[in-house]
Amino acid sequence: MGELFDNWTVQARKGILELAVLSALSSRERYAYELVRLLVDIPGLGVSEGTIYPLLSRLRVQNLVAARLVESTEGPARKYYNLTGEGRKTLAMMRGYLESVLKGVMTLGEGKEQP
Amino acid sequence: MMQWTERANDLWKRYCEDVRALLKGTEADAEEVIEDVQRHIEAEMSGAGVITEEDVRRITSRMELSASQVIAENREPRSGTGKAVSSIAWEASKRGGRKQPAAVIIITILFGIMLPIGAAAVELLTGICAAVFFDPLPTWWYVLLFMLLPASNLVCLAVIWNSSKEYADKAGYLNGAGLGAAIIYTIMFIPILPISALATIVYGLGLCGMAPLLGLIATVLVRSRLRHLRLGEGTGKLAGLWSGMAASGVLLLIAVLPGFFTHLGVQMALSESPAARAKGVRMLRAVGDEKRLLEMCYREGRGFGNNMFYSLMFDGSIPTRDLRGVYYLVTGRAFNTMAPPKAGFRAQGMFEDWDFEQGGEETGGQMRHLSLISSRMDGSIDADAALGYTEWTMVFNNTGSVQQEARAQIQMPAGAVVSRLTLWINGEEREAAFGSRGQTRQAYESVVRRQRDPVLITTAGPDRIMMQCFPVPPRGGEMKVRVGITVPLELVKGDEGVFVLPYFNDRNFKIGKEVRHTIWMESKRPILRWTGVEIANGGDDRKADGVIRGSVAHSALKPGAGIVLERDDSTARAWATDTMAGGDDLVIQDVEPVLRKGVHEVVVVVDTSAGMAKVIGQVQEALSAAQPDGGVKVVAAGDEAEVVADGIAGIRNLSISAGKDNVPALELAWDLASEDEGGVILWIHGAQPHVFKPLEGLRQRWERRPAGPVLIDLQVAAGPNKVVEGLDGVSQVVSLGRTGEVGEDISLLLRRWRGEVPTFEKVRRRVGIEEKPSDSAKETSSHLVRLWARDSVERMRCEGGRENLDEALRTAVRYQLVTPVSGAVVLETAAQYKAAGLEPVDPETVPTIPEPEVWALLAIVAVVLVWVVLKDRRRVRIA
Repeated sequence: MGELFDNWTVQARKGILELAVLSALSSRERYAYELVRLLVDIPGLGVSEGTIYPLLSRLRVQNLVAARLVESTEGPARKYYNLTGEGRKTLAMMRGYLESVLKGVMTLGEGKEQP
Repeated sequence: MMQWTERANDLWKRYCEDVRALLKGTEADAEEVIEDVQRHIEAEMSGAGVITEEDVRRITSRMELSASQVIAENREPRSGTGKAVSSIAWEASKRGGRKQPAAVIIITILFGIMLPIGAAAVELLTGICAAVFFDPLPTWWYVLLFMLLPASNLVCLAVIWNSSKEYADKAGYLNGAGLGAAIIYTIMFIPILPISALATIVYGLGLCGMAPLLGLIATVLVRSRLRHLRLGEGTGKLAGLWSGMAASGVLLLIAVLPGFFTHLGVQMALSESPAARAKGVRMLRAVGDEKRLLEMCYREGRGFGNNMFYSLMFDGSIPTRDLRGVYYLVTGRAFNTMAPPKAGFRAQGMFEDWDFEQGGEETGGQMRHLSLISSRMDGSIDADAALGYTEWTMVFNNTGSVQQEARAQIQMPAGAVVSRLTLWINGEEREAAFGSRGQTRQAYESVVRRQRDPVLITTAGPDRIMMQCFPVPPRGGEMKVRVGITVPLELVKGDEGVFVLPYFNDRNFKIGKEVRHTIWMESKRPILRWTGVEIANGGDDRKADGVIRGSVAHSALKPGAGIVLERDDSTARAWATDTMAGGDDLVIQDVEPVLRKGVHEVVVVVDTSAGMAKVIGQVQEALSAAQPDGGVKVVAAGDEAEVVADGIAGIRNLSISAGKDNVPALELAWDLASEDEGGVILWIHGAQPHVFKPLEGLRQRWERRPAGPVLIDLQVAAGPNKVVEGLDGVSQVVSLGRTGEVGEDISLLLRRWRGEVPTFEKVRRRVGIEEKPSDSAKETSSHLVRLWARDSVERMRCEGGRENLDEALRTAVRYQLVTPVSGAVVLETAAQYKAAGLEPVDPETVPTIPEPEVWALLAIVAVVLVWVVLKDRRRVRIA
């Protein structure tokens, strides 16, 4: 039983993590380390610090986010990420999709059938 | 900038490797991720100043790269437990077990670096492949080409190990070059791969032969890792494949081209077409690789076969003998005047001590470890009787690892004959047996095959002998031999005689610069001077007493080197009792001055090879100063034989270089000289180490016209003369007795022909005791008998016929002489002599120094002294 749940959470987190990153960047640009600390604090997302970096790289390659290096007085240069236009569109689509899916799924438990 | 400890750096590099491996096949940029993680670590540790191994381990372990969550949407987690792949890889890396890179690294180090370096070292040190199959590293260019393989792998491995992505492209070029070298050598080694593989499997040896193939595999793997370092899982290509391979191709061309022209030239020089032959020789002189040519001369029986490229391109079946002829035509030198060439650290590798001509009749190439370490000449001269005797004692040393045979062709004074041969066996002197030429050679060869102690001397053309000694023991062993030569003096004037010194024409051993020939000659007449040779510490003060003690450099022993002695002009007759024939007969020699004016026309053949360069001026001056009455025609022995239009004046304009075949010029000269009765050919030449075609053309001329032109052979420098050797037995071919510099000898000859100075002819005959000469005649040693016997043998041989030859042989054996029909051999045991049908000479009958007559004199003096002493004592007692 536990194994089934573990597998399910892995599958569920896979898509949600990308949504979480894009959402975190939707309000303002953030540097990677900051982003990592923000997402690590989300319970249940189960993300480690190392997981974020490959994801950010892939999103950048897919042109959903853009990155820039900014010199920092506190340490090494920081890499700031922000959403591209394409990223914003994708975020909106993801949110819409997830909302409708969740909405439908949740209603199943309340005994309401879809028309 | 944060400081990372060395161990932290090492750990970080391993982590980076894993990240790259983990992100393979994903859309994420591994290098970007690595940069981000590094920035993360430095941000987190920004207050610490130094990042330690523990910091790296702690932070990277915490940020495990979980495949299950983020790596790729199309990749499933590896296990149901959801354990991160990265975690497995990272944990493995912490234990040092990065499987794929480790395998590549091990293969690269073993087969891409160590094996090729080891194989090259073995080949350079031993030359085993060169000796058995072909030479993979004939020049340094080839070594450089082959070393591209391990060198490129070493550098590329360093780049991979350090994950130096920025150097990956440059390493790609180097890898391409290494790959090119590996492919070239793999192709070269294909023919021996099966043997190598079999030898490796069965005996555990033979890996060297597989080095190129295994190196190629390793180099391909290295390229794959380089590509991965540079491009990750991208689809691009690593730079430098074709350009690197092209670079190794260019290096191959540089390595091959000089040899290519050399081999092409040789092929042409030995072709059927005269025009092609001339072109081939010209090409070799212009662009040929002399060292390569020399190497081919030393690789007995191998021709082109020791180089894969050339053997593919050219016919490899060229006999070494022909190659040696081409070497002479190109350089003007006999190949064995040069030591075997070195290729890198080796001479001819582990087979350099192999003597392919052992026991044969050719001198062959110089043996690297065989040398003459001591040489002395002892002699006694009876100037009034115009003869002398010298014993040349030589000690050979062999520093090699196998037994060696010392061989040398010795030029004797004109008319001289070998009358004694001694070998030291276990410190004891053993005298030779004299027998027929075939009998002695057979005995020698049979003993050489059994590797025992013989020494053999046979003639090798007029006034030349071939000496062979075997075995000179290995590892510093020595062999000592002595050759006794009975010498007629050259009489320049009635009151002067020249004792000409023997010298080496050809040899297969080295003579170090420090080796000097020590000379001790004694005569009853004063020694006036020496010619053509500087005798150090010659003891000028002793010359008046007829003694010369000193030493000469090896280079000074050359044609014309001799000692000039005073002689009694009135002693026209000398005699000796012929005790060797067992009777009371006498041999009488009359010295007759003859004024000659019968030479009508002289055809001078001038060799234009490099050996003439130093003397060509002397030759021209001497010929100009005293031209024969009948006139002079000059034939130049160049690449083609031609009559020099300007005659003697044109000699100066001749191009003197390289080596030339003189036979066509001699044929032309014979035809010109035979137009007039009494024509003479004077052949002035350097060494002739090779004959390029059978001498039948020349022999036929003299056989059909036995009274045809006389050929006077004047060789200006030491060296073999295969032409004269080939004309052995032709009575019209005579060597000019050298008594000084070339110019002086020519002048003397021409003045004799003009009738200005006499020729002193020595007429020897055997008579009965009843014809005992008057008291004015000079009684001399048994060497006079030996000289007469030599003349007799020569005469009978030239007359030909079975009976004459049999009698000639009997005479030679009876008088213990080495002649064209007889030889001398020393064997080790009585059984060997018996088996060969030979009998060693009685030590009592061999010539010695001082002469037997001197020993007899000393004995008489001793007896008289004893008698005087005894008489005195008796007188005292009586008193």
